[in-house]
Amino acid sequence: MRLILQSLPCIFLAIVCSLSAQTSDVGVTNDVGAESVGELKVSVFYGTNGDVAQAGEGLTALSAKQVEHLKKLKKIKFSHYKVVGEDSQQLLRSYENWAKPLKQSKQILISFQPSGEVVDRSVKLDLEFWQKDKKIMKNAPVLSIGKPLFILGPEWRGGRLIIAVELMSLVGEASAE
Amino acid sequence: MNKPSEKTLRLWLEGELEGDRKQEVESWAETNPEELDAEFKCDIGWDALNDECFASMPASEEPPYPEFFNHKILQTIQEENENALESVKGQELEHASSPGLWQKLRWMLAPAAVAAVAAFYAGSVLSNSSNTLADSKSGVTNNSVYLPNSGIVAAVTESSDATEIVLSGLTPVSDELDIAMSYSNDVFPALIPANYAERSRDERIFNIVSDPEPETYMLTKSVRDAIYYY
Repeated sequence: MRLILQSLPCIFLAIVCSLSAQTSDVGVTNDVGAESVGELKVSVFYGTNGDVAQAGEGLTALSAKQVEHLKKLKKIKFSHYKVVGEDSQQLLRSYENWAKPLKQSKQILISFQPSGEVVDRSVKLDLEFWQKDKKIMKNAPVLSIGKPLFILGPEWRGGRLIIAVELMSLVGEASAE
Repeated sequence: MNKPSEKTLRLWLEGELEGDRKQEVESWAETNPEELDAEFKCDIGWDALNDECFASMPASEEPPYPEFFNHKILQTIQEENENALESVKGQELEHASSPGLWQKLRWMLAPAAVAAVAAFYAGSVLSNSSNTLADSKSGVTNNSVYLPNSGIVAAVTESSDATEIVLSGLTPVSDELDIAMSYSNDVFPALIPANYAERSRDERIFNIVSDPEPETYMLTKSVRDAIYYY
């Protein structure tokens, strides 16, 4: 009996050490904040009422869904559109992520991170639009699948660059495509 | 007492007598006024002297400093008026401290009106926010746009299909820059870093922020056409 009582502090110390080791392992391996809660797609369109050939080569045609979205816009209206670039990035639970739709240029950059939980298929973001090294705009939209955010951006080659931010999917939800 | 000498009487009149001699002369003058008048030939009497004194005084005399005198009088009058006003105000305050029932209600009307307006405004805001929440289920809402740079203007348009933010005042992208997506290592292998595609996303993002001019990788459209021609 006396031996058991003498060994109790050692047993207690061992239990505490093992618990602390387990919690530290959990902190290193399972960063919940780095988990993806969805996918965000940022596209850059070129819109012009003039000759679309001014934009040069390398631009691609829009998909039917993109055309459908652009036709429904009330303020942003052009006769011709082309896709300049696009980038899809994961929406991380508590970390900022960047989309760089123009692969060879930093003229258009979008930073984003959730500012709240995913509620009813919607998520509120902290979204920033950067042009090169300059922050142009900060917004806090609530994005949901099927309703993109369009930003009429800077002029380029006789037209305007249009940035489309669309929530493509949420974890546990059906994809937009 | 016998009649004092003429010299003693003159000293008494000039006020130079003292002690017992002064009392003796005064007691004699009181008991023998006729002899005193005869001695000094002063036959006009005390009443006549009194009248002569008043007659010699002016009927009115200007004060030595008339302006100062008038100023002090006006100051005194003003002080009296102010004291009177303060007493009147004090009486009014006493009345105000104990208002009647209608006065109490009148004072309560203003806060009640403010509360009613606030309640109406809060109700309208809550009503709008509920609509916003309903819309947010299918789109983008809460579009408060922050523009840190002056000269840039944003106009937000919300619809059921999309949200549009029209920015004006932005610096145009140079027409010389080819920003399209079709450039690849196959086209310009020497201009784009060989391991660009293999770089981790974090490294690429770091380069975006740290590299001052990544566009230097690219050629202008005219130079590119020249290379094709060549």
